Amino acid sequence: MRNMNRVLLSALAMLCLTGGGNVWAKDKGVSATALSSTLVPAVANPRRIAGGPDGQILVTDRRYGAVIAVDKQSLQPVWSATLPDGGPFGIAFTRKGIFVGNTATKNVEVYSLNGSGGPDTLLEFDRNLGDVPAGTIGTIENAIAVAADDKAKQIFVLDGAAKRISVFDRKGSLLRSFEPRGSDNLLLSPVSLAIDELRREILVADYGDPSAWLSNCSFCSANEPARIMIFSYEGDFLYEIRGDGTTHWLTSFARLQGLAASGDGRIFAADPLGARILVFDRFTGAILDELGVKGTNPGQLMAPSDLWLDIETGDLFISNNLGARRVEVLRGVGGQP
Amino acid sequence: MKHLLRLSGISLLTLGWLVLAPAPQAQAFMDCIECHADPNGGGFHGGFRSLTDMTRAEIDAVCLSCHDGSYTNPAGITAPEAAVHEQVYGGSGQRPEYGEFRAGCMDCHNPHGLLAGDGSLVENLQLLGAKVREASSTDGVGRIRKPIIGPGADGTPGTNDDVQTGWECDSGIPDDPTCDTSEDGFGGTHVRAPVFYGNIYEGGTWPSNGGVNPWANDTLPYNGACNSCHTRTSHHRRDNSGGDHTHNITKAGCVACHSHVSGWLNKGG
Repeated sequence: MRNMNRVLLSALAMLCLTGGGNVWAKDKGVSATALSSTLVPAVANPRRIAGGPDGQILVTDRRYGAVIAVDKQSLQPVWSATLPDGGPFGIAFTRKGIFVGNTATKNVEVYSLNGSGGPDTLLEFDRNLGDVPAGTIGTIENAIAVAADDKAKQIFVLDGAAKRISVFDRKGSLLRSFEPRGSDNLLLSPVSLAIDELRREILVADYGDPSAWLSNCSFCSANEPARIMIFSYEGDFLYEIRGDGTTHWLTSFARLQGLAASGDGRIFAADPLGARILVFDRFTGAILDELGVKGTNPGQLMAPSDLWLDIETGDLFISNNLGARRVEVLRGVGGQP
Repeated sequence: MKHLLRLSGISLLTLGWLVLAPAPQAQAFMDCIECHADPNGGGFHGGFRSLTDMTRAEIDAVCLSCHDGSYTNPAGITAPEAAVHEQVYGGSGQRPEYGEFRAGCMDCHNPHGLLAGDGSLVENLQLLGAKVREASSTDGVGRIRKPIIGPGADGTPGTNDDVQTGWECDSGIPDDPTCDTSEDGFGGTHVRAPVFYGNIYEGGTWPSNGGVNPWANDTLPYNGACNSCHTRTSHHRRDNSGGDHTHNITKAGCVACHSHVSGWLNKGG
């Protein structure tokens, strides 16, 4: 009986990994909607990063206009798929599909996987979010960040140009949308989005207001600092970590990009100016740690733009740029939830 | 009454702002602090840092922190997306015949503006300096800087693993410090910062630098924005050492295929 259970569990696991209506396409033949699968030699201009299938992480690459799957251990490309219109930016992975923000088609496109998970893997176009017909230019001007909560079956999209967060169900229907305004109710410059599935929160990195629009005077320009804003899944403003020390007197930063949340209440933030990863206390706004060494050699950071935290291993994956164009990883820094 | 006067004063100030201040929608210009923000300084405005001691990659990180396609400023202007023109082995290297190279943001763009030979501030369209002079220049004529390519790990020059070891002026002096010196729009000189190959735009204002295509001038001197550096490309070499000068020369510009978003590299490779 125990063996029987084991067999059933194995079968169930295989079903979850390879079929049964998940991200892998049921039809193993190559369809007309499959994207080009020529493997790129290396990550060249990585932007957003997300978890992926079977020991892989997914990266959008603006050089190749491609989605690149990178092995979690070797950090080398395993397969890649070039989008025909070539503007992948935000990306998220769920068991039901890969969601790619395409700034060329102004859509968030949903793809399924076909193949072995190796170099023969293909991405097949499934649909656009928001019921936009295939081949139609959508209305999401600049989907610079996409996140997905598999359990909640929700997809979160930040349109950086419209400065709006839209929440979809996995079938693509729009559930709600809202503007990410901070404690001052100002809508400034949101640049990235992540979710905290445990707390059902949306984290938004915002550059603040760099302009001196009141008087065109640099000395008068202390308007709004960069910040991390936290919203509920429903869009209610909850909390804010400001970069000018007004949240926590020792917390000071200029511009943050990609974010990630750990189960123990830490927020990781990519700091492209400081070439480092800042670690915040979600509840006090205090900076708990600075991770990474500045430089262009392997293992060093230069202009990190996004993060993805593997909550099972605590490994923090980083899309890195500028003389260090690759995916980097800080093993185990995320701890266990 | 005092309260009323105070209110009036505030109202007048407010009115003054409304009249004199540019509309937020017009905020395409940038403040100093947008580039000189100190990562530890408390936001865009709380800390100021000089960039002169920074490496080229660090300076590029400043530019690309906004020009990565994700940043739309509070007035609704999205910073044009760009990528640095570089090839790094072990990273993005795909065309070994070119060796390692790197042209950073300020090799082409000058955020400070430039002085013309007569001392007047010249146009700085798209931050592309119209002219740059060596500090030692007395004729106001710009000079081409060009990369110095040396042997790579195999120790043999002219092979596929060659690397860029520095820059030189037309003076022929390797790493001539005047190569990295030019005048800015504020009357000072900057080392390293407003570098570049001024004669890209010498004799005119971008894009009318002569030739059919301002990006790759097909006539001598081959000083388009792209081909002023190229010595190993299949086409449009500045030193006329090979290739041709006709490759897609009549198209809208090199950028039709080699976009800035791709780091000027062809998307297909």
